[in-house]
Amino acid sequence: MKIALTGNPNSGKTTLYNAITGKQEHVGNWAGVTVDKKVSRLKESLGEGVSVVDLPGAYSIRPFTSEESITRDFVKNEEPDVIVNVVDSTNLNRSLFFTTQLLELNIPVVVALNKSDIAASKTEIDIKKLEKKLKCPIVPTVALKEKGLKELIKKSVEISTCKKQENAFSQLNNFDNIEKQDKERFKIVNKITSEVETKKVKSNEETLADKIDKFVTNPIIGIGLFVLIMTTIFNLSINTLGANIADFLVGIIEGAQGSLAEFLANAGVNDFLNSLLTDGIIGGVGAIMGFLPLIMVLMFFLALVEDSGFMARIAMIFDPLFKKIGLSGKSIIPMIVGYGCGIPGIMASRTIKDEKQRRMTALLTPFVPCGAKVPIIALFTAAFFPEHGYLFALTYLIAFAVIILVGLLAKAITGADDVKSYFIIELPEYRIPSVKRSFLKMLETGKEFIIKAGTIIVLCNTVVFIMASFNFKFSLVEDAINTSILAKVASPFAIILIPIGLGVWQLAAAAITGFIAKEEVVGTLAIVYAMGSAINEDFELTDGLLLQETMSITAVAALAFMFFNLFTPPCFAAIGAMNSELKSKKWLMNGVIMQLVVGYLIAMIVYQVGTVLAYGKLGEGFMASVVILAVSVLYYTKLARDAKREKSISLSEGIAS
Amino acid sequence: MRNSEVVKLGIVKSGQNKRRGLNMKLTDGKKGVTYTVKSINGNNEMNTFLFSLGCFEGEVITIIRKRGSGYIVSIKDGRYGIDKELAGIIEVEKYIN
Repeated sequence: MKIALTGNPNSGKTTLYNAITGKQEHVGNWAGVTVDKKVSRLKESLGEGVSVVDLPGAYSIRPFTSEESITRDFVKNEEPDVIVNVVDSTNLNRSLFFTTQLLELNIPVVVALNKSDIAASKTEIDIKKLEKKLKCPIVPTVALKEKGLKELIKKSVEISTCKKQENAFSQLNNFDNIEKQDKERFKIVNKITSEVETKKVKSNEETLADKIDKFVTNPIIGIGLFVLIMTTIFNLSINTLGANIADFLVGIIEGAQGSLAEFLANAGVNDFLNSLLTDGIIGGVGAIMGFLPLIMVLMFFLALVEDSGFMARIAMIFDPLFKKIGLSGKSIIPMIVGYGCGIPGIMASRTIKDEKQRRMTALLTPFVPCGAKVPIIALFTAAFFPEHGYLFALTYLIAFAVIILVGLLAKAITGADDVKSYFIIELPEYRIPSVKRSFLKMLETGKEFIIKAGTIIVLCNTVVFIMASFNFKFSLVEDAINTSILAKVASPFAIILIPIGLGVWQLAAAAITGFIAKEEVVGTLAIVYAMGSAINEDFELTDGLLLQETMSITAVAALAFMFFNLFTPPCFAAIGAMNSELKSKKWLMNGVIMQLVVGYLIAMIVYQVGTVLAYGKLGEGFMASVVILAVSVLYYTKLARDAKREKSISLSEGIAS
Repeated sequence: MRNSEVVKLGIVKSGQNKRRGLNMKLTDGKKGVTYTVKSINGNNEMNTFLFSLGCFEGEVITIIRKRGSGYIVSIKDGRYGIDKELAGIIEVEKYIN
């Protein structure tokens, strides 16, 4: 049996879905979180052999956004046995519009009157009366507290045997014009709600939430609040709470590493194998795992913010700013999702209606430092700038500035004129964020991370370790020196990186492996610099490393390296996500090239200018960098001029015609 | 009539119209006031979308907050943040109970 969950955005479909399937799909308390349908089996305790499909939210079966058309296509093509229409009881009137459309499909419908606890304080709904009018069963639910779910499933199973749905509104079929039909539809819905609902609070009166909103959506206060919240979150994750947990974890890993090495040595295991296991795998993976607590704490707090309903307000706050780069406030939502992982962030750009804006958003979202980049930022800020704890949070601010800057530059090239696109976002109820849910989300992040670590990263580390330990004649060489395979392979790339201060094969190798998974940059560094799990804030523990690092690169170069990894294209998986959203190989290629150029140029400028400012001398490859910069600027100006000319041509053509 | 005179007349007329409450847009509205929607003058898709929210001719809309950077409006039982451009395509008249 197949149950389809449909309903308005934000009605609680995904919460309900999670509750009845035991999954942990992303819930965000803002419209546009679910962009694709999700399928799973019903919990065993609730029923056997039942599959549940969570569809993206829709206000109407006639599609406006691409998510709404998924609903329409699914319901029309895949023929679920039962449609559960999740209705937000606090907005009955608007919700019923969609309900009346669903009732016409001749598939049994059950209405889940969700958020019935919140609704109880605002309004009273006569369920029996409504059932008579809609001619379908109605079950009050509170998905968040898992109330009414058993009853809901029971009713769904019951009516699935009916195979038919009586259409209470067949008179609507008499209208040939859709507009007229829909107007009549609303008339009917208005009548129903006036008969069935008794409002305790008038909906257009100012509420406490409205007062808060007036305050929060003031651009200056709003952005200030946003920055404050984000900085606090980062501080908690990186400098205090997260760091303490990380120290603890790293201590354990180091201990394990040491004992394992001893054990293997005593057991007479081959030295190389011993080293592979302890330094390569445990050391490399351990280096990354040490950052897991930081990421998890970060995710926890972000989930709290998402759950509170603040996100939609953030979109509203940033709308004026984003309009300047040819986007709208909606584009910030994928970027905030991108703080966790770039892939769902890029996918979330689907909620943006305008094609050009959607593509721009998909290409700008990867600039947001995702969870995988956290180890890089944390490592480099701690190692090279230990006195500057604020640098971590500052990096995120810089990333945001980069997004705005690139957006402005891109606008000039793509000739994105002020398209007539309107901004509208639903402002859901504020609610006290659920600690339990955020905690579960955090665990989910941790689980995904560990799985990734246990597979791709272990594999990658093994390969890197082997390449660093052997030379091309396949004889063992000293710990990762210049004659190893890895060194030989990475050296040509290192030459390209000279103008950005990183003409060292170790760093080139790390940057390359970063394309497989950004966490791998740290993993590779751990191997090539033989650091093992000794990567923590206390670099004094490994003098050799400190010496080597200072020999190879300066603090400025370290900063350049960090920016290089942050702003170049993310991992292949993310490029894959971009490919699906951009739907155009041309855009994908241009986008990836753009990201490569941006990352390179930023690193280059930081290195060259920084070296002059901080050390009073010219950096390596200075002449080359000047040439590169000059060429880039010239090429960009050409592109911008071409775009301007094209624009005026099409304008004059428009006038002429 | 000369062009400048036509333009001037147009401005005067539009001012009169505004005072009479004709062609009044949501951007001319005041915070805390409820209006009846007369028409939505956007593109087809936006009109349809607003319709599905319950924002169309004959229905009411209340301005909760009005700023150049954005409006908050109440339509049916929902709250929505919209920009000035969108407010400009919603033609309204004073709500008479």
